[in-house]
Amino acid sequence: MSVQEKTSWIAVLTTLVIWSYYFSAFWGDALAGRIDGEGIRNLFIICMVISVVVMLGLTIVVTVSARQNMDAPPDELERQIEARADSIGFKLLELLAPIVLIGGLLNVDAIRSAFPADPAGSTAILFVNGFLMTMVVVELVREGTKIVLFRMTA
Amino acid sequence: MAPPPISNTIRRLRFDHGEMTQQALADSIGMTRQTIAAIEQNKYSPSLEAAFRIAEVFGVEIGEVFQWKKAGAA
Repeated sequence: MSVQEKTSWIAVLTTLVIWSYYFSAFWGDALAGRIDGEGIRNLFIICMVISVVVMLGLTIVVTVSARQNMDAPPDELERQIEARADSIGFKLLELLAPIVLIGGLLNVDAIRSAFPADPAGSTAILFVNGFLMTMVVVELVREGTKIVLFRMTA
Repeated sequence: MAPPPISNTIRRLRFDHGEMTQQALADSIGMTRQTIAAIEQNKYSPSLEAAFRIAEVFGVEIGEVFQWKKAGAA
């Protein structure tokens, strides 16, 4: 298994574990009618820091154990796989971003009435987390595509 | 996805060059061992430049490394 493939596995598994927890906590609270802006911000920062530390740490371990330079450029097969994964990820982003935006705009009144204590703040938090979830899903698909393509040539 | 209609003799050429490892070949042309393995198993068709580099390592013409399988040929 190449270092690039191992890095993709690290990204997928870390993202799945950490961000699944974050979004299940966030949407669980939101669907129950509780949005605590400060709590969500703190949870987001914690998840982001853990995510970066775990991914960076594991990537360094994998690279050192393979005795490779972290800055080593990808070869032509790896570049081709990366380009295909990027292309699929970008098309998915083009599809999901408008869906989240339009879906959110069509439901603004429902969102505002569901959170009477702070309708504007809650709407903004829901929009931001909708887009954040879109980015996470796109990243998962992008890294997952790389793994599939690497496996097809293994 | 159907494999490309190209065969290669990289395995034999490596054997003829003192059992050269895939890693040694990969290092000499700036690729990963996994990419060399994919080329050798006909799962990936290299660029023309990489094909020439592989032939250069073995000191042979590119046609001795890669062969086009004509349509209808077994």
